[in-house]
Amino acid sequence: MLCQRCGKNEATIQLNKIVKGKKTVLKICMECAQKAGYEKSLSAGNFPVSSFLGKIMPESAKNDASSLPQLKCSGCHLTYREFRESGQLGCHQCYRTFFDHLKDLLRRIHGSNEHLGKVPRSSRDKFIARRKLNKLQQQMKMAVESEDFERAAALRDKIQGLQHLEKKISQEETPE
Amino acid sequence: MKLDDLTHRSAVWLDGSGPESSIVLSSRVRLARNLSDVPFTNRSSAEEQQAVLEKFRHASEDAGILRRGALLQIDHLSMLDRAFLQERHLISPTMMKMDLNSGLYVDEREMVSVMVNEEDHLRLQVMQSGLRIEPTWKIIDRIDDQLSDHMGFAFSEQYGYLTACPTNVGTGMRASVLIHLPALVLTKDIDQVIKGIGQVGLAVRGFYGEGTDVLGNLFQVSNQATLGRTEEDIVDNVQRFTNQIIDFERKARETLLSEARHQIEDKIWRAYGLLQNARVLSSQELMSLVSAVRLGVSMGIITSVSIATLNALMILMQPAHLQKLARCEMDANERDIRRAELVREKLKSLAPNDGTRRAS
Repeated sequence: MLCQRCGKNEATIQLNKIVKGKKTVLKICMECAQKAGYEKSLSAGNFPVSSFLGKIMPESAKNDASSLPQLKCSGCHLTYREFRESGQLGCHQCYRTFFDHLKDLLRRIHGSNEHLGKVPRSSRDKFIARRKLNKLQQQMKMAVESEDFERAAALRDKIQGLQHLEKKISQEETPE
Repeated sequence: MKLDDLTHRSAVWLDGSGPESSIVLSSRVRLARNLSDVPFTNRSSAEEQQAVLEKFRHASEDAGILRRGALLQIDHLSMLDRAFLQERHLISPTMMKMDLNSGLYVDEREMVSVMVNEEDHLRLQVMQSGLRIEPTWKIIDRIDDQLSDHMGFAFSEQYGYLTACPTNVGTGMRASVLIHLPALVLTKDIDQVIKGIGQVGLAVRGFYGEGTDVLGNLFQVSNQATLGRTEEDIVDNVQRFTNQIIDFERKARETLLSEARHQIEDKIWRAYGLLQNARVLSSQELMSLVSAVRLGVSMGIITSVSIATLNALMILMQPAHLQKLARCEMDANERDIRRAELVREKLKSLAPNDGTRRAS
């Protein structure tokens, strides 16, 4: 029979729906089913992540990869091309080596490229102070732009206080 | 503790305790961590991998944690033992195939485990029964802190914890629940629910994680993004949407009961009857029958079996477990016969028929 939705293709899928106890049966084609949001299979995770990553790489990064085959991590000798094929980075330095390319990719994957979570306990105080400092500096900039100089001055004092504190911490950390 | 000690018992995360445990089997949090002075597993030599294993051993000794358990070297294990560990959700399908110097730490209750030299140097994992994502996160957070005092983890201010795959960078965290949704599958609303889950940034996977099939109407729901949000936000998000899904499942159960009571009770009692009487039982059939009976127990239709027993069956009746229990290799046909036999014994000893409530 023909699809009850578009009336064009052969109906290959039967949708049984129970809404408030009333069962309705709809026979539709694959195309309409996909349009209506019914996925064919639950295991969409069957694609290897690596090939998937290659597909969502920004176009510019793809071009760069062919024009910059010499981009190679000094830590583990992984080339950018190899990363594109495997989807796996080779060492922590790769994140620095491929920084420009990863920035976009990470934004696509995570919707962000800035870590906001936990910091290793040993360096927690330092990182948290720095995060706070960055935030205050941003706020100060905004205060200046909106000509709220009183607030800007207060923020500046706060920033200087924090910077002083940070210096003290880093001095304590330097080995004798 | 030895590997074989695990054979006869099931893990604490299957004991049916904790909030919402009739629908949520378990909560799990894992963290991906790498050492800063060794290339990631895919670029490291056998010697370096061995060094990672030793460093992990020393760090856990120095930190005085992870003492009540065993550190197994995976490449010294037989394929059967590896399959056994995979069935228990202790090693990943990836690790099962790898012939590296990889290791697995597991505590005697199977709550805490650490895969060493999987895709990342360390994959810490904590699993608990029921909907307990936050307490699970708190446990793993503490272990991570203690290990990090004794191991230099690869970390960048901008990107957080650095991982081999960019999909895990940042928190390196995956928080997930293993959730049983038979009613949503029966009413076919599951497709809509899965679609909705995708729209809020969560992922749905099969029983054994990424790329595996859905068995017994068990779904794994977890966060997708790991960067740009705090661990607490991730926990909160997964918790909130899990509550939502539980709500959907409850409503679907009510609909089934009010609109198709006899059909649904029939399905449940038939499944129970099959489990008690079958002479040949494949693991796929077992999973779907146990799923139906589990639905019956959590709706109060069957009262003579416990959720914990059913949870345990889903793991203990898997192929590698059967062979470990029998202490010999068996082909698929022999396993199906043995499985039916064991299930009959389990349900007979636990389920006198007079303890059950009859359908009207």
